[in-house]
Amino acid sequence: MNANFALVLHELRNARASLLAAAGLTLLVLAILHTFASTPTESAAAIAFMWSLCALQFACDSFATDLASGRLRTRSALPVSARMLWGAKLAAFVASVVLLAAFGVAVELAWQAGCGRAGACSEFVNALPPVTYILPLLALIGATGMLCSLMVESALTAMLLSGLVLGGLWGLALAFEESTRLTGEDLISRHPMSAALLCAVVFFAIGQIAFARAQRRLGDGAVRLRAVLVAALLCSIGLAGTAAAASWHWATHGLEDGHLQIFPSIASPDGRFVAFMAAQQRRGFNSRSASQRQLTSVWVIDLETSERHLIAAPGQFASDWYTRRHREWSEAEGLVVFTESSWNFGGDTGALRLRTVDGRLGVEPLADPKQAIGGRLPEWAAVTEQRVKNACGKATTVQWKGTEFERKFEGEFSSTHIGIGIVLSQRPGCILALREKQLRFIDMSSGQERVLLEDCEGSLAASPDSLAVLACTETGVHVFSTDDGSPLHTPWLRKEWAVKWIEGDDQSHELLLRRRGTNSISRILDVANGCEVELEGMGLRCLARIRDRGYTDVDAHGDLVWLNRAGRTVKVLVDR
Amino acid sequence: MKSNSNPVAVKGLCVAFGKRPVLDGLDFELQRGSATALVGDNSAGKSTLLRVLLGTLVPDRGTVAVLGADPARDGARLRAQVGFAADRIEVPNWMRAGDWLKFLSRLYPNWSRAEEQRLCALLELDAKEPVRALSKGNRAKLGLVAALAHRPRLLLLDEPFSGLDVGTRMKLAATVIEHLRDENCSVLLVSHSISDIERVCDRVAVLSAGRIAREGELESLAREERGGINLEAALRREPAAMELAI
Repeated sequence: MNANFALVLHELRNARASLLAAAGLTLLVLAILHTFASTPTESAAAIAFMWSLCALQFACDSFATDLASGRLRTRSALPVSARMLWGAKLAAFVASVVLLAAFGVAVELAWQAGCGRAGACSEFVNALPPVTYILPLLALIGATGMLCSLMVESALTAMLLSGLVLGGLWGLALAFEESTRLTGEDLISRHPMSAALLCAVVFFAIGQIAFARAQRRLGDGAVRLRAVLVAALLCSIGLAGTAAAASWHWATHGLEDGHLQIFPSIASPDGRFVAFMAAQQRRGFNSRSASQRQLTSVWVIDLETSERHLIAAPGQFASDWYTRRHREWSEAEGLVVFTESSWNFGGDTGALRLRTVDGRLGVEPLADPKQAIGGRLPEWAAVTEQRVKNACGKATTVQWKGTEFERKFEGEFSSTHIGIGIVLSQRPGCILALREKQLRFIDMSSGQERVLLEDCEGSLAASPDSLAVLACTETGVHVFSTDDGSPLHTPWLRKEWAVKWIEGDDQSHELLLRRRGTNSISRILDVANGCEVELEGMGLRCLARIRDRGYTDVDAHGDLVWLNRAGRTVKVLVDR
Repeated sequence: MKSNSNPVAVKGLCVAFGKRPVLDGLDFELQRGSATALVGDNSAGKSTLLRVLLGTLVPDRGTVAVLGADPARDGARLRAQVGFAADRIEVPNWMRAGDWLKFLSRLYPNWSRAEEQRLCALLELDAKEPVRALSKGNRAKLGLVAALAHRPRLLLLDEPFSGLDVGTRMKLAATVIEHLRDENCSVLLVSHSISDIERVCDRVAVLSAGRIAREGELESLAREERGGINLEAALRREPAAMELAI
């Protein structure tokens, strides 16, 4: 028999008690799960968890017990190299995990085939984590466990130490991620499994070298201290390097970075400056993280000189900046940028105020973003599902079940969702809501409803000053007062679809109309006088007013363009 | 050259654990066909020297040649030609003595099944007995069978007889002597017991302060007291050994 095979077989026979215990534990967990009528998905999650747990236990037991009992010393005198011994331990670990995984899957499949409902087997198999994800994680757990197992003489202590190391790795990954995102990159989120695998390989290599070449030094406190210092030094150099790369990246590429996306702008009160956000969509490995985390920067452009100012670099703001409440520019307050997580209202990340004094820009960070922005939030703040938050931090709850309301008002301050179906009226206790394709004015306290418009399509849109609400039918564009639901204008009987209100700080009411089925030609409709301006070739996603100087928008090429009131291009502000 | 013909040649060997030097410029040669006892105080570095010779410990400085090879580089190949028996052999408890020997037979290219059985019979070791049930003496016998069954050219013994009764000691020592005679191998024995040394060895090396302080024929050195080294005292530190020696 080959010596390598003999060693691996010997290790497996040594670990048979642990294997039997792990198999028993797997059976117990599955039995408990099935007692409480779990789904195949839950079984798959439990099995995956067991894999991780057992991988940690097997790895941590690799050397610790042998070190404590002196077996490792006996084995080191055998006519095999330390590398072979290490390889046998590694192979035995892999074989143990594979055996246990196969056992868990086989047991669950057998149970589902015998006692489960139709299709449960395939549901279970589909719910198992993909091999591409689970393998690097198990490898990382195994490498960490084996490395820690070399340092201490107890498997339990090695498990605790491994937990600390894995936690430290997670923290380091977060720090590294936050650092690299400044460079416009998103390495760990894009390649999390590659990072885990790389880390595992490094740990395996360190363990192998330590075992093969420096056995007697493993317990040397000075060596451990030196290793920690070297690791800390490498981390510091890495983080400093990425920060330097970030400075270089933004100084070199700036707004010309091809991956940037420009979001709606806002003009200064005097119409000289335009502030806007640029974001690089993160390419995380799941959609949630991608939407949560953008590389957001805030810029101001002087329309007269075309000079650009980076007001907030990526890293200062962690999230999105796309709703009206997040940016205001007034004479009194300056530009206030306020960011918050779109998923979690508690995720405030920062605010700053921009002032223009004698044509020069000044930036002032705000200590309390909520206080700074709170009094200026629009009163109407439409929210779809359950909650509507007003300016004072109070929340109005509208329970919505299918097409039915539960009329309820509460002072609750909780998560906020940007919505399309409800707009608060200026009149206390009243809302305007879409239901069964009807726009209704609803008095929540009495339950009285009044139909304002039939055959509504799409969503409601409240005007920036919250005094009007926009609704569309197939044949016309309608604007109603949010105070009492009365029509503010004669409907415009047009085939174009009213997309949204155009934001501006001069209280003017303009609507952006877009022809159905096309993005190429759209119009701007002045609500006050019915005048229309035709736009062609504009993206229209970021259209914003610059007082009486016209509009800014991002065209189909991604360039930020300044348009006059007639819809003609005045200047390309950012040519990308 | 003499050093080339000797099975062990060590020059300027330095090993330190942390800041504490254990072996400090040690020079030593084990003569071919000789049985040399390595004696010295506890923590003098005797076991450390054996670990270096086996290639399980990489020295900080110095040159080491065992059977003409460098243990740090060719440790695995070297250990296939060296027999090593420690004071305590740690074998998994689920095994039987025969399982351990069978496992070893797959690792040693020169393992002799016949020699293994002969040694087991000679030492009255039951190969079917579970390791967990083995007495200290039987464990020592198992260790000695494991060290001799592949017919090594060099035997390194690290207090293999300590804590054993007189009869077992004599039996084990006789086995070693027989192997020494039949296989023409060399023996380096670490022991605190003067009686064991007298039974097996013809030479003695005294390890002190990380170096070989004295080395020579057993009989001449045993009577010698010079340079602050009392060999008799060094050999008689272990009470059991003293008793046996008397």
